[in-house]
Amino acid sequence: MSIQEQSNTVTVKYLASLIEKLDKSSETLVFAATDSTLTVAAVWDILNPEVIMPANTICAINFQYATLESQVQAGDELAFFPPVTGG
Amino acid sequence: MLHIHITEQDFEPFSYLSQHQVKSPQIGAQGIFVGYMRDFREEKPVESMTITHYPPMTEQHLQQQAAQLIEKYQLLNLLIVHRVGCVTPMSPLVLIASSASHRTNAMAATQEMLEVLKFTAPFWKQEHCQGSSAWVEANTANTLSTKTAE
Repeated sequence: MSIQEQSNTVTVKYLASLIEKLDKSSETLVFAATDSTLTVAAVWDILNPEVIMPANTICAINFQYATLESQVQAGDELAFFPPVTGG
Repeated sequence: MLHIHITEQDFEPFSYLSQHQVKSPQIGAQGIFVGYMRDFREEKPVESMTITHYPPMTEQHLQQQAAQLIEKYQLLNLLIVHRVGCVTPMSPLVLIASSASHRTNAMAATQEMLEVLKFTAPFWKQEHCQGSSAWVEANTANTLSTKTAE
């Protein structure tokens, strides 16, 4: 991947049960030249067109909780995960 | 002072606390919570459990939440340990020790930190029994068990 492509990508992580559901734990999305931002929901739909996002899915951008309407920019790390169950 | 430790190693909570707690003549109370793994959930047996997390977010989230609690409750020390990896029944999973000048703050901070670990810190449990595995889908609400001892 070239430096230019890296600067136009979003790293997407899937965690816990979503890894098994999607059979992947990480991937990158290369922004189209016309996109400066995308919503979290749009990123899911682009990368997982065949899979409806589970209703209880939680997301984080750069390790901070976000919403499906939050804007994702090139260089961000976006994570999708189920409800947490620590403690 | 804040001490956060996420570990794949089994730990003995009171030895850990003894080694890592900060002593101060201003401390008048310490609220301590230790959580252990049970061998059942919803009346079904559990043989072992795998705890995973999202390392960069876990550390950042715990740092942020703990810093807020230190300020809110004027804590003099806050120590948090959380197990990850494979655990078996009776293993300690969590240690929280909040030190403050007064008991109300120490106890409230410990309770609030536990709620952070249960409901916002990115940890997940997967239970194993008799060759099958199941993700814990949600933590139970913070309610008292009303079932009396027999």
